[in-house]
Parts: sequence; C-alpha cells; structure tokens
Amino acid sequence: MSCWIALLCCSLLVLPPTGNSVPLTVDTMKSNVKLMAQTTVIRIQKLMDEFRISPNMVFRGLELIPDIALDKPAEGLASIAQNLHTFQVILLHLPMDGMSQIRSDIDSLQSIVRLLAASFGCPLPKPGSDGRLDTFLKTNSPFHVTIGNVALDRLQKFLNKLIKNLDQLKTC
Amino acid sequence: MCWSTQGINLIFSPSILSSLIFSTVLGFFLVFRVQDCFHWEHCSCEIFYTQLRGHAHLHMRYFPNYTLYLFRFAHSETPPPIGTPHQGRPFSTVGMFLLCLILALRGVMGTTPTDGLPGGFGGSPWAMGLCCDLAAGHMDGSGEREGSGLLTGARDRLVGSENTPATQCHISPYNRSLVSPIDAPSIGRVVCLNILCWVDGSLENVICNLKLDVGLSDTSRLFAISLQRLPSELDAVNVTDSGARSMCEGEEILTCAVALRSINSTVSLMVNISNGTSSVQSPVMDIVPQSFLKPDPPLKLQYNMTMEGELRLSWTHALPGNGPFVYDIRYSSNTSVHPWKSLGAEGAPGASLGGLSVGLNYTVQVRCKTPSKRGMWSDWSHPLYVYLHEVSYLPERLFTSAGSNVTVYCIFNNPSHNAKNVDWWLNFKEVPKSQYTIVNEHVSSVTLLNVKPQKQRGYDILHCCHREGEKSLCSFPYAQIYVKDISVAISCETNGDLTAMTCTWNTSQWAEVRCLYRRYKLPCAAVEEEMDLPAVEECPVWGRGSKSCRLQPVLLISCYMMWVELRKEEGTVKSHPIYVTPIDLVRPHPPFDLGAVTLPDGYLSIWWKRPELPVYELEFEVRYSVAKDNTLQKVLRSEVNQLAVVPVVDPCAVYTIQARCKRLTGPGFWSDWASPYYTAINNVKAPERGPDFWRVLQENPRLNQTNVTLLFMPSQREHPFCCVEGLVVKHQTSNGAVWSETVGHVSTYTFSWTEDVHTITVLAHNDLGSSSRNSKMILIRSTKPKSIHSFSSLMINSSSVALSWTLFPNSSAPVSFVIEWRGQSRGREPDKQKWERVKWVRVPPDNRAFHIHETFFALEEYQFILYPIFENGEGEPIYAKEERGRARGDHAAYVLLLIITFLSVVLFVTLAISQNQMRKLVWKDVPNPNNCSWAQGVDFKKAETIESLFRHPERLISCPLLLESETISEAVIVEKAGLLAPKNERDGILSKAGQGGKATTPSPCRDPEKPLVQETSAPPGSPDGSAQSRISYAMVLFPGAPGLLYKQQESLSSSSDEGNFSANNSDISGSFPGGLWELENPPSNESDPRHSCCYNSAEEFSETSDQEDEALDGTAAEKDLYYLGMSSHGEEGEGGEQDEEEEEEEKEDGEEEEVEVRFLAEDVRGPAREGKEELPLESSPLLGHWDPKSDRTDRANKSPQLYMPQFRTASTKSPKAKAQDKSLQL
Repeated sequence: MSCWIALLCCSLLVLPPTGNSVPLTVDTMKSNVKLMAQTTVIRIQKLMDEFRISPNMVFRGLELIPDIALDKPAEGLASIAQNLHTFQVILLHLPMDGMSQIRSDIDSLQSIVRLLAASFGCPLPKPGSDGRLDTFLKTNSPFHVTIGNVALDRLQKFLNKLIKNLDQLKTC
Repeated sequence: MCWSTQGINLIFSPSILSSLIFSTVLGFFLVFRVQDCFHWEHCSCEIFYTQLRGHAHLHMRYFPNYTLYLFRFAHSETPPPIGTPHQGRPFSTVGMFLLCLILALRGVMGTTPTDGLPGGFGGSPWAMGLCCDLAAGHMDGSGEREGSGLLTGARDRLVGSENTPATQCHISPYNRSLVSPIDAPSIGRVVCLNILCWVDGSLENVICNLKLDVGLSDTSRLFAISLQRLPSELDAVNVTDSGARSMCEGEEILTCAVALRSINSTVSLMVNISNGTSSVQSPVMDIVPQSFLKPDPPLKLQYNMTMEGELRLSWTHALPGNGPFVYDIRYSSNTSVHPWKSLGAEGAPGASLGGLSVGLNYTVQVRCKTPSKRGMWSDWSHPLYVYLHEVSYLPERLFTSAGSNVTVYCIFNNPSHNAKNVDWWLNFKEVPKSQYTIVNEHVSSVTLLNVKPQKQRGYDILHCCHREGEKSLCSFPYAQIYVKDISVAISCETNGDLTAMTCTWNTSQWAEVRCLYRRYKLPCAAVEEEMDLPAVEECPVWGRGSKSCRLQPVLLISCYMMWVELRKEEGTVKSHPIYVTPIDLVRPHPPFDLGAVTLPDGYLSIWWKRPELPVYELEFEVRYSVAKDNTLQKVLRSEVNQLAVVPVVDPCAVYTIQARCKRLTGPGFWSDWASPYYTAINNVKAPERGPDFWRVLQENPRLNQTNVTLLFMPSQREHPFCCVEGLVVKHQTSNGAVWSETVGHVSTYTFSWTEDVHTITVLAHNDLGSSSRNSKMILIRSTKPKSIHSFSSLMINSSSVALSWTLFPNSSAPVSFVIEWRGQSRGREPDKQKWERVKWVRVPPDNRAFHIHETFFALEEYQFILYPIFENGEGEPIYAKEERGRARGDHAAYVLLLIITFLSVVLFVTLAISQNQMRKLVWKDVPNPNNCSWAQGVDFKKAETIESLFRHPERLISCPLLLESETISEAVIVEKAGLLAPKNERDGILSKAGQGGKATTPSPCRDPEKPLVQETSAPPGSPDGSAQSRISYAMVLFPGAPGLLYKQQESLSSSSDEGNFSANNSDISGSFPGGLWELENPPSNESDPRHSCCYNSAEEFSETSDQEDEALDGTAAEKDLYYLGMSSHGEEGEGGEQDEEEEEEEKEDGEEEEVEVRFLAEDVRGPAREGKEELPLESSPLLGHWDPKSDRTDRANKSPQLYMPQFRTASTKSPKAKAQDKSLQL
C-alpha cells in the first residue's frame, strides 16, 4: 500500500514539469509586445539616422508598403498581424547588413501578437503571400535603399502606433 | 543560273523531266526547291527526285556553282560513296544542263510562300513522310548475319535495297496523308512516320522527331525505331568511322539524335524500323546540316536607356560565331489582354524599342534564325520584363575613384515631366542647382565634384526628382555611385588560447560587405610586394549581417592580409587592407588564482598566477581598493613578477583586488580584468575595549517615548590584527528585560527608550570574540543631581573654543564629563536629524577646563552642554553659548555698513552729476563778478570782501566732492617786482613751509610722495593725460621787499595765519585737519605742485576753509590780491577761444586785465611765439625768471589788484596748446 502511495506522490511531483507550460497572461503578452516594439523602434532609428530622408522628398510608387495613418483609429489584431507579416516580407528582400536583427525582432513580435490574438479567441488567417508585392520586391531589388528606407520609416510609425494603442488591443 | 526568287518553292511535274532522265522510271515527281538565294553566287538549289513507286531513287544536289560541282562530280571517277545510291548514278554535265534548261523553259508549275511549313517543306527543317511495309522487310537477325559490322551491313542493305521490291518503303511529303498505295491487306503491317530533322544550335547533333502516323492501332505491337547516320563519303575510306546510331524514344513523338561530324558535309541518315519479327530500313536521306540549323534562342536579353531617352534591347548568343541571324522581337504589356507586337531586326544582336508606356510591365522576347529560308526559328528567349519608371538613370551604377568628378544623367520617361523642373538629391540631401545641366527637354544631368567615400558604406545614392512647389516628387529608383576605395577600420585579435583570430569592421549598416583575406606563409615583416599572391578566401562570419568573422584554426606567425569588399556586377569596392600577424594580436586570459593578505606592518601582499598561453613574458597590472569604496582605486604594474606588496592605510579594511596581463615586450592587448578577490581580515585576538559612545535624545510626546541615538566614538586600533568587525548593543531595562543586538560596524544606533531606567552596554567584536572592557550608559528619567556650578565658553578663534567650569563644593565627584555641542544652523540643512549636528567629547573628571579644536563656522551659533557623568547615571547638564570676541550683532552691522556704503555711492553719483549743473550756474559767471547782480557794489579788491564771500565753510565743505572729478589744476604764481628772493631760496622756503623742513625727493608722477616739481618741470599742459578737469588759480602778491615775502611765506607755513592764496599748496594744507595734504602734495622746489597728476584739487579748493578763516580773522594783513584765470585742459580748443573771449571781456572791464595781458605779452607769450612747445615753469618770469625791474614800472603806475578765482574745465591736449592757453589767461 505504501508503495502505491509513494508512487502516486512521485507521479504528482513529476507531472507538473512534464505538463503544458503555464500560459502567459494578457498583461505579460502586451508587455512583451511593447518591449519588442520599442526595441525595434530604437533599432530602426539607429539605422535611419545614417540615411535620413529629407521631408521635401515625396516618394511615389511604393503603395504596396503599408502606410498606417496615425490619425486613424487603432487596428484590430488581425490587421496588425497582417501588416507585420507584410513588413516581414519586405524586410526579407532587403539585403543590408542592418536588416537581419530587425527581421528577427519583427518575427518575435509577430509570434507574440498571434499568441495574444489566440488568447482573445481571434481567428487570424494564415499569412499568405502577396504576389504583387513579391514581384515588386524582386523586380526592384536594385533599389533597396529607397524601398528599405521608406519601409523602415513606415514600420517605425506602425510600431509607435502599436505601442500607443497597446491597451486597446482587444478587438480582433 | 538558278533562280533568285527568294522564298519560292518550285514544284515540277514528273512529266517534265521524264524525257530527260535516263532511267525509265514511272510515276515520279520532282521536287525542286530554291532557297536562300539572297545572292546569285550563293544561291543553292536542291532537287528531290523521289520515286513514288519504288523503282529507283534519284537524289541529287544542285548548287549555283553546279557546273563545277557536277563537273567535278562527273570527273571524280571515284566510286560513289557507299550508301548513296543516287551518287552511284551521277548525272552527266549535259544531263544536268538539260535539266536546268528545261526547268527554265518550262517554267514554274506552282509557287508557295516559304513561311511555315507548306506541304511540310518550305522554310522548315528537313521534313518528309515515310511509310514502310514491315511484311516486305527482312527477318530480324538477317541483317546481322549478313555482315559483321554496320558499315558492311549498310552497304549490303543498300545493295539489297536496290534489289528488294519497290514496295518496302516509300517517301512522301511531310504531314501529307500517309495512306500508302500499298495493298490493303498489308495495312496492318505498314508503319508511317512524319520525320522532322534539324541541327541543334550547338551544331553537334542532328535531331529528328518521328511522329507515328499510321500503325499505332495495334499498340500491343512493339516497334523499335532507330536513326542511323551512315558513314560519310570521306569516311568511307577511313574505316574507323562506323557512323552513329540512336534509338528513338518517346510516346507519340519519338526523338532521336545522332552526332554530326561536320556542319558542312552531307549527312546520310536512315531509319530502321523493327517490330521484333521483321525490320525494314528507310531509303537513305541526305541532309546538309547547315541548311537545317535551328539556333539556340538568344541569351541575356536586357535593356538599357540611351542618353536620348531610347530603350535599347540587347542580347547575346551561346555561340557568337554562328551568325548572322535575323531576329523576331515581340513584346506586350499583358499577353492575356493585349496581343503581341512584333518587331524585326537583323545584323548585330540588339534593337531599339520605342513606344513603351510608363508604369506598365512589359514582357519582351526575341528569337533568331539563320538568314537562310530553310533555317528554323529558334525558340523564344527567356522573357525580359521591362518596367519603365518615371525616371531612368544613366548609368544606374557607377564605379569611380575618390576625388573624381562624376556625371549622371536622368531621363524622364514620363513625357509630362520637364528637365527644367528637376531636383537632384545625393543621399537624400539636395545637390546645389549650380551642378545641374539640362541636356534636352526630358534629360538632365548632374556633376558631382570630388566624390568621396561615405561613412564606410561604399556607395552614394542619387535621386532625380520632379519639382512641384516646395516638394520633390521622386520615384524610388536611384543611381548608385560606388567609390572604389572605402575607409574601413578592421581590427583583429587572437584569443587567449591562440586558436582563433576574430576580426571586426565598422562598415555601415546599409552596406553589404564581406571580409576577405589572403594568407601568406611568412610573417608580415617578411612579406614583400613581389611575392606571389596567395588565394583569396572569405573569412566566415558568425551570422547574417554580422560585422565580425572568425578564423579558426589560425597560423600564428603567418601574415594575414585582410580587407572588406562590396561586390556588384559592375565592379568591386574594396577597403584598404590590413596586414596582421595573429601572434601580435593576442588578448591573453586574465591572471587567475588571485590571493592577498594584510601583513602586520601595514602592507598588502598580493599574488596571482599567469595563464600558460601565450608563453612569452607578461606584464601585469593590479588594482585594489577598499571594498566599499571603489573610487579610491590604486593601480600598480608588475613586470613578470606574480607577486606585489603594497602599503595600505587600514589593515582592518577589506580590499578588492583585480589583475590583468599583457605581453611584456611587443604588441598585444591587455587581458580583461580578473574576477575580483576580496581580502580577509586576520585577527589574532578579540577586541579588549568596547567603543565609547554618547547619546542624543529626541522626545516623542505622541508615543510617550524617547528615541535614543547612540553616537559611537571611532575605536582606536589596539593591534594591527585586532580589528573590530562589528558592535553589539546590550540593553537592560528597569523591568528586567535584557537583550542584545548586533549592529555591525556602524557609527550610530537608534532605539526607543520607554522604561524609567535603561542601561546600555556596547561591545566590540570580531571573529575571535567580544570586548571585555566596555562602556556603559544608564538612562534615568528621574531628577538628576546638580553638581556643576558654572560653565562658560569662549571662542578663541574659528578653530578653537575654550571651556571652563566649576563644581559645587560638596558635590560628588563625577567619573567623567561629556561636552556636547552643536551648531545652530540658520536655515541651512533643515532636514538634518538632530543627532547629525551633535558632536561630543569625553573629558576626564579632574579637568575643569577644556579646549575644543574644531572648525566653527562664523555664521553659526554654537551651544555647549556639559554633562557630569556619575556611576549611576548622568548629572544635571549645564549650558553655555559661545562667547565671541565681537558683538553678536555684527551681522546686522555688516548689513548696515553695506547699506551705508551703497547710499554713499548713490549720493556721490548724484553730486557728481549735479556738479556740472552747479558749475554752469555758479562758476561760469564768476570770472566777471561785476556782471553778477549779487556782486554789485562789492569791492573785490579788499580782503574783507573775499572773507564775506567765502564766509560759509560748511557749504564749501562739499566742494571737494564737487571738484573730485576736476582735472589737475595748474597755478601760476605771480609775484611782483619786490619778489627778489633767489629762486632756490624761495623754493626752500616753500618746501619748508609745506613739510616743515622735510627733504624733498623727486618721484614719479603717480607717486603721492613725489615732489610736484617734477611734474611742473614738464610742460604745464601734460600732467598725466587725464581728462579730469582742474581748478587753476593763482595768487599774485604785492611786490615788496624780498624780506617781506619771505616773512609772509614763513608765516603761512608756520601758522597759516595768512589769508592769502599761495602757490605753495602746502601752506594751505598744512593747517588742514588730518594732514592728508602733506601726504598727497609734498612740496616742490621749483614749480607749482598742482601740476602734478597727484594733485588734489579738491583739497586746494578748500583753501577757503581754515586758512582763509584764520586770515580773515584778522591775523592777515590787508593785501591786494590778483586772481588768475583757470584753464581747462580738456577743452583746450574751445576753451582757448572762450578764454580769449573772456579775456577780451576782461580787458574791457578794467585795467586789471590790461596788467594781466601785459604780463602775457612781455613774459609768457614771448617764448610761446618762439615756437617752444614746452614751457618749463622755471623759465616763466612769473615764477622767478622775469625781470622785476620791467614790471616794477607798471606796478609803480598801478596799484596792486585782486583777481577772483576763475574756474574752467579743460582736458590736456598738448603742451603747446596748454602753454598758449596759459599765456592767454595770463
């Protein structure tokens, strides 16, 4: 009898570590979103300090890069996840040395946003490939400096807005 | 001869030639095709004569130079090549001639265009239809049996074919219905093929596609079809050529290829068909490969823009020597919507493409073929996608050297944009417009001067934008300018294990570089330029985008040449290489096994171990500090030795020690600091005494308790190795509670006191135990005994206070006294706790006085409290406040003094400002008192009158202040003829009068002790350059006997009882209270002291005060006085004129002025007119060198007159002007 009890106790002791990991709380996930977004914003700023676009220059033909208006209301998680994916695709086509870490940051951010959306029960569509964007990026890969600069600028604005509206991240 | 009708196929009826052909064949038709007759001499013709019913084969080639060819053919007399049956029957020249003639005469039966494959022939690869009856063929294996080799077998078959029935195989046009006229029962055994052959682009193979047309109904039957190239005619002699054979494979279309031996020689092909039981061979097919060439499609199709804004296509060929070609270009913006547009070209591979629209994606393809009409079109090339941006750059990428000038063109593809409205941006910064050039309406260029590499990036980007207002509308494409040499700092270091070298570089984040190196076998010092360059290798990076790479393993003494480069298709940008030898770049591991001990003599001994690698000698650096205070860090170096002994102040302190190392001789890096080591305190015994302490009480009425803060006196170290590591406070209360608390090594300790009696004992302890002799304090709330009678303090200075006290006679003797004092801060440090300001000292019981040496701040008040300490507690304390050597209200006095000083300054300024007004109102009219209303009826010649005028000394007291800013005065003494005393004698008298016999010593101008004679010997108008005005006045004495003057002067100097003004100021100042005059105006020997820059005119103006009073009191005899004018040096120009005017007025006013003018005319003006710029007073007749006789006459005629003082302001300009002014006044 005592052997069974000992065995049961041992099982109880062993079970918790082998079970599923403790789910992150919403606050923790939001905190991670904020942490990653702020980190990426700083990285982008350092990268763009070298190539700061004059405010008098207006670039055309880059409509495929998401440009989030700051004055519009906060987006839902699905839209955020989609935009992050689009930025990720763009960054993947930029060969500069400084892009690799930013890509990783956005990758982390995507993961935590998806986790956050799952905690709210938001169904997120599987990120698909945009053929037009892919073609555009491949065709214009020689001009990655302008594309990269504009993309980073817009990504930075997007992340700042994300940080600002972090508390409103409830809608899908 | 042949027809030059390009692109015409001629098909003739067999009947035309029936009479001309020697053979008696029936049922044939003749195919005559002309192709590629671009030029007459290159025209080539072929005649196909095909026997439809299998009687015979006639196949001949017919070339424009047929005559020679056939002739040669006819005369070759060589046996026809094996396997070419038609060649076995050569045409005669006559026959051929007749054939052509007939063709020419009989004309064309029909023509068809060559495009496509009309009838399966025109403009196509070699094509034909073939039907064979397997029933008529040989049984399998018979062929092999007939010969040992292919060559023989072929010949046999050829021979056999001639003998076989004509129904075995027959040839038909390509793609024509292959229903053969073979007997119906044999249909099931007939196989029909459409054969299409061509030569591939590499000119190495003949490729044939065989399409089964008939015979597939029974798929169970297996056919084996092969293509055989028969040995060529030339190879017939060379028996080594056995031809080639290829099995045809495929489903519906069988493909087989046989290698070509030569592109120019005829290839004879034969198709073998076998169904397993029987086989049949096609007739021999001769192909000229060059005529059936299907080239490979063009490669590397690309485009660029020309400077004229034209899009130019270009491509290449896999075999450039195969040309020329004609090209077909097609393009479309959307192939599913818009049809293809075609464009032809020939010649060089390239074409211009126009009419493309901006913003559309175009697909462009190109194909080629030989100019021959039989040449096959190649496949279409890979598509080229063309997207026209609004702007194109020429060049898009440019490689240049640092310091060069580059020009880049911008082409606006959008026709609405004009090159005049263009902005160029370099790295997103605007380029000055002076560097722009307009090439044409849509093309602009910019020239960049002295291009330099940018920020380790390797390139610059250049945008050409359309300007609209303040904004520039830009397309995202840009031109890139690469500067070949970039400055990149590469640094390498070898790890402590000497196994790897890591290199880092500082390129831009926007760059894409890689690190390359060459590794020499020798050290860098031995590497020479002419040595063979080792191979270039890439240093592996740690990750994408990483700016460091690692070489492992590493050759320690080899030279590595390292650089980073940015490679593009158009060129490469490289940084300047560095040459490194890994052994010189070692960063060793830090020293390890650190240890330290405090020695009894106050030294700290530190030791460590060095890393084993690198093996060369190391130097070490050790830093140590008190563990709690890293700011007091000390560093010492040690070469080779692994032990160091350093003096330390406090052996009881815990020290933090770190060490690092570096190569002793030669290059290398310092290692990292080793992990800190903390010293241990080695005690040999426990402390003997506990610390002395005192308390500060703070009542807390709300809680009815008292907070007690203990202040511990720093304990004196009893022994170097008897350190106090902490304190233990033992409590014992009146209710019997006892507890203790370990408080560490602190300076204060606070607890709450609630009981009536609280006893505290403090022990010092270390790791060996606690102290045995400890201080004890008993806190009692009850009344304390009063034992001190008096207590006083005296602050001796800011660092010492003396205290003294007395005890009551019969009081019990205390065991000690405690003096406590604290500064009463006035608003400073209000947040400080009470105990933080308290200081204390314990005094032995026998003392009745004590000196405290401490810094006492003047702005603080200190209160001293004397506590008698008894065995059972404290006695009644007594208080004393500091007694300082000055009044307590000094601070207020200081403030009051400051206010007074400020008010004085204000008053002075006010008076100084009002001085000018007063001078204008009062003194300006003085020169001629007769003009003043107040002077009407006043006789100024009498001293009494003067007395009455200057009767108010209190008002004149203010004059010195008023005249403080006046310029230095000048005075001229006018003595009458009776003044006969010798000059030196008179000076001596004056000097004696001024200083009472003091010897005069010349001194510089500014020196107050300086005799004024020095100044007066200088030009009167240049005393010191000061702009201050002066008062000038003089006294003219009545000419009398020298003795009288002497007497007068003496009286002035001795008693100042004379009211006369004297040239000797000391006469006046001698009676002035305070004696300042003597200090500031020592007497002069020869001249007027008021010419000195140190002359105090204010003092002089005070002449009216004492002396005058004395004189007016009656002690002075009545005398006539002459007052002279006063010149203003500052206004010499105007002043001089004014003086002249005033003097003119004075002339008109009376004879007195005339006398004065005469003085000037006779004595003063004379020298001035002689051009003397300087007029020493010694030479002035007014001061002694004038002839008394000459003046005596005037004086005899006129009575002495008095002159009123005249004041003017003047600034010194030049001695000459001064002299002139002076002369005018006089």
